[in-house]
Amino acid sequence: MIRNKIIRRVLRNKRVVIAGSVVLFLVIIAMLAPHIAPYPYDKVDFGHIYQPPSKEYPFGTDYLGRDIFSRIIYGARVSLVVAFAGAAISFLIGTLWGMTAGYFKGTVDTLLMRIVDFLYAFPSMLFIILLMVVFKGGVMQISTTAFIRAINAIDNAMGGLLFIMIGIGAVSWVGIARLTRGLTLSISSEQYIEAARAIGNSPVRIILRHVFPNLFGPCVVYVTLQIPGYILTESFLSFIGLGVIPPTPSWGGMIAEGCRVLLVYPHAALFPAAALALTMIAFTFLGDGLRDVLDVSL
Amino acid sequence: MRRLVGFLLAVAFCLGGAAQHVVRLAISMEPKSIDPNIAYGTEFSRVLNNLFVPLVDYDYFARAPVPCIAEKWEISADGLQYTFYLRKDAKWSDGTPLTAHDVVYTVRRIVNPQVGSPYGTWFDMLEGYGEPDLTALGVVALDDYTVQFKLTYPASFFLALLSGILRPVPSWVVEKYGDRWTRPENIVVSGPYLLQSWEPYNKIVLVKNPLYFGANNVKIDQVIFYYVPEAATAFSMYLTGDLDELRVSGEYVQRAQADPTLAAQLHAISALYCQYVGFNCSVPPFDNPLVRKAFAAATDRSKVIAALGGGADPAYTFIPPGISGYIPPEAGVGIKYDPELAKSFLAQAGYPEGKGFPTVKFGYFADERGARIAQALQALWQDTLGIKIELMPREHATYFETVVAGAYNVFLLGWGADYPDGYDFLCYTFHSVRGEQTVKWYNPRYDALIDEAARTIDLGVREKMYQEAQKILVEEDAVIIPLFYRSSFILTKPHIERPYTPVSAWDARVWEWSIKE
Amino acid sequence: MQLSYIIRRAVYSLFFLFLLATVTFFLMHAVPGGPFSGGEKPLPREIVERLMRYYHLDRPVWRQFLEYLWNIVRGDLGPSYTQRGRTVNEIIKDHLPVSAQLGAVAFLVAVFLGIPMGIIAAVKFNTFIDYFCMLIAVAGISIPAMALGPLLIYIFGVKLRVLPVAQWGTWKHMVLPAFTLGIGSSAMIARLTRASMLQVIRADFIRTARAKGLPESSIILRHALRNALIPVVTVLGPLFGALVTGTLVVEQIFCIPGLGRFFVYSITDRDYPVIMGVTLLYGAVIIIMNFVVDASYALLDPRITYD
Repeated sequence: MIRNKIIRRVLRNKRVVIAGSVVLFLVIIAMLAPHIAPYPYDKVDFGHIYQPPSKEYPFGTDYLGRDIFSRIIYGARVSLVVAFAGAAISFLIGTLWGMTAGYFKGTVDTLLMRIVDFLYAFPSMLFIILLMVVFKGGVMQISTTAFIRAINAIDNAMGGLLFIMIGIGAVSWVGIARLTRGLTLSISSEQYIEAARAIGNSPVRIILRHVFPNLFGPCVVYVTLQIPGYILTESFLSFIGLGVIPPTPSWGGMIAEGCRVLLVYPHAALFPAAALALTMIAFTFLGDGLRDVLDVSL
Repeated sequence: MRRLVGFLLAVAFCLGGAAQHVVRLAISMEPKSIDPNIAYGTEFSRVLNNLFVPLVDYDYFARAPVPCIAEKWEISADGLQYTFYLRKDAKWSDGTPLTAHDVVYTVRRIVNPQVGSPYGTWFDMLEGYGEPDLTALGVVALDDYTVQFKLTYPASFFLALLSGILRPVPSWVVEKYGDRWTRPENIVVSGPYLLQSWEPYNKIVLVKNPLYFGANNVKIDQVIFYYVPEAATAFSMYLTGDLDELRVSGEYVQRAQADPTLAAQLHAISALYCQYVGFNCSVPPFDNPLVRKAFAAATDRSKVIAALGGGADPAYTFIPPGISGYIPPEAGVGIKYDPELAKSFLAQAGYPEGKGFPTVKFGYFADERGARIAQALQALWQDTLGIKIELMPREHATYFETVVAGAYNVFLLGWGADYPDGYDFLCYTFHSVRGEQTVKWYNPRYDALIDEAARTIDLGVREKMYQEAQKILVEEDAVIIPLFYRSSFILTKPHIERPYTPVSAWDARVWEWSIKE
Repeated sequence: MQLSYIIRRAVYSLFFLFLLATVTFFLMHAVPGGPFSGGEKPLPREIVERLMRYYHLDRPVWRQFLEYLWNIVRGDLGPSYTQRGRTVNEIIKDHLPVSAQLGAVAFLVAVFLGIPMGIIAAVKFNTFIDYFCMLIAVAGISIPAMALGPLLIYIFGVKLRVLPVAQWGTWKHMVLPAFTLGIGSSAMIARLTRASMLQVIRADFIRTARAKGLPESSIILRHALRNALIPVVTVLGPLFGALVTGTLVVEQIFCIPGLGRFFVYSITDRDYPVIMGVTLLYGAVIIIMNFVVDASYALLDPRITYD
């Protein structure tokens, strides 16, 4: 009964509806990429290198004459997978971790937060590059363990995405843990939590019913704000040879390539940057709207 | 000593004070070292060559070694003895005369394994090489201004070798300061410019050295090297006049060519570098020369160059123009682009239309250039041969190791000249013993040609040997596919007057430049 | 906050730096590749071996680690393997101030643009001003520094010629890079502030304050803001750390001789002492910022106590 109410409220919020549709639209595009894209993303056309937008190539071409429009569509896949996987992993681990620490306080809090503090002090860039080097350095290729070879094969089949997702997930959950722990600390001191505890509600029930909904807003906003970061991390990795395996397109990679020639062929960076911006705006407004709706005090 | 340097700097300043001619250049990599015996690579020679003079210089117009510190030299009839007579007016920047003892010290230093110079093994033709006692080495100072080298075999490329790597260093400074002798407060130089300051990853400032023996002809008073890693930023800086000279490549060349003002300032210089694709010849099916020839014939160099944005000349043989052994394309050596021929080669090898051919592992060094070349080749080969290529970009710290370990079927590499002779190109790369062991290919005829050429003094005969060796390399055995020789396009502001050699290393010979009034 | 608490924190912090050093060191050495075997045209094998021996890299890893710890205690962070003749101490001494300056200015940009924008947007919730502010904020996040940088260089440096294109020196050189660096963070801060403020504004104690008849501005600034800032402050800590130790992209594009590049390139170069030195520095900065953040929690929300 309450769930219906919530769903109805969600659907009534204008921002959620609009932004949510855009996100849905992007997801559908990503899934239907092979059917929508006018050209395969790796179709090379040496005669049309760095063409500005034209009828033949609506967004122009890149340095191999590949259609940027098609590459952006396929790139949606990559960016969305990276975004969703990264967001999901970090959200799940982070909120669980932070709520547990913030609610139980005492030794539990100390232990969990000390680990978080340590991981926070560990530069994520270092860690992710080290991870990527190990994953992609060629060592896993010739490993003797079948499991490791299998994972490597899956990663190759995904164009290099699996390891990127693992890497990003592994370094980003820490921020959310900190955030949720801080909020949980504040919320736990509130009167109604005390009341619930006094009544005899179990910690799990209290956490899920009272604490979690209050965190949801800032968490969603925070995670949504991290998404550009994930995509940028992936683009940076692609650039030093530790990201997607060419010719797999990724918006971040395309932006990075395009920026090299920004002063000469601006269209190469502009379109992927616009796609990225659109996706960001959509996710952000979605997060905004959802937070507005799920505010517990109503 | 320090006071003298300070005084010199002050004098240099005052001399330049009246009409300070400053030139601002860019380097895209921070020099790891400007010790001439240790520095290994391209970017820092721009700075280094203005600070230290070599025993013997190389003239790329005449394609011959010319005097520098050595005024003249004599080679014995059997080619085993080289005697150099040094000029008497060469001085270090602290006033000490530059003598034969400095030359001897430097050679010993280069060979000394404790120092770890990358060129140490190239002096293996000297008598006494390999002995723990360095004084037994075949280089002696007959008097203060005469140096004699004794060789165990008549190495024909010896002068070219010296012009590339022998720049004397001041022994008393090196001994005193160790690793830190090149810092601005310690360094003592012999060249046209002094090192005034070095802010790492920011800028390096050189000022004219009044004690340089050719100081009267040096017109530029101050040289500033800015560290600019991004091509876009460097280009902007050139447009605003913050840089006086800029090397451009790829799309920026096109941009410059499209603009009439810039086009007038653009000059092309062929750089002594060849980019090539190597095969791992130990793993089937690439142990079959027919397969390798198929790939070579399927390589359309013009398209690869187009993917880079232009600015390179296609290469069918290995040695670039300007170096002994260069074979011009008209000679017809090498495997040209011929898709039909490629398909027939592949069919002859047992894989008609690519059926049954295993996925090809293509390794490359992951930077922007490598990525473009690799993807272009992947498209070309897949289209023409009907096979599948798997790209494997690797970061640079592990790339070379994996190539040598044989992790790929095909890999991308390049070679730039260390000194102007074909021996540098052919020996340290693919010789079975002295080479890098990347292609895992051993041809006794190739080795014999190289070894023989090393001993052949007659340049004409030697050239033929280098050419013959290249024929084996790229045509008969098709061990590598040369792709292109890199061109350097240089933008120079119109007020700068400088000679343009037809080919060059990455030099900025600023002491030869002047400002148009 | 009592002295015993502070002392305990300090001890924990030292312990963590030690842990950080240990994990980083062993992780670094576990990764394939070394400082001298890289590049397209690497050094000859004998030379590589010689250099490895010179820097004690041929000894067992635990032994190298102990040597490293011993050197740290004496204040020596080691030499750089790739930049011969320079020590890590010197590298940090030369480049940290630059990054710190840039980071500090970017941080100020981020905070003084972000927080007010967030407050205004929250107060004028669901109005045009709200949407407008948020649109700017989102644009700020969405345009990556590597696109914004060259664009700004082109507009202000090349076309308008009002600011220098690149390099570092005068205050003018700081404008574009600090802005490029700070705008992403300011957008994030604005959004977070707004979200948090919205939450807090509807809380009971605010209603109470309003019922009491307190002036609106006082409510916003004294009561709401304090609580709203908690999640924001959480983010500020590591944000400052990230800014200060340099962002590679901005420093690369604007040719700023900061510490950021060492961070990344030392890893790909396998310059172990530099990796260690920069990592430990970063760790120290984070620890300090965490402490500041926790302290400000206590200041902002008197209900939170530490004992």
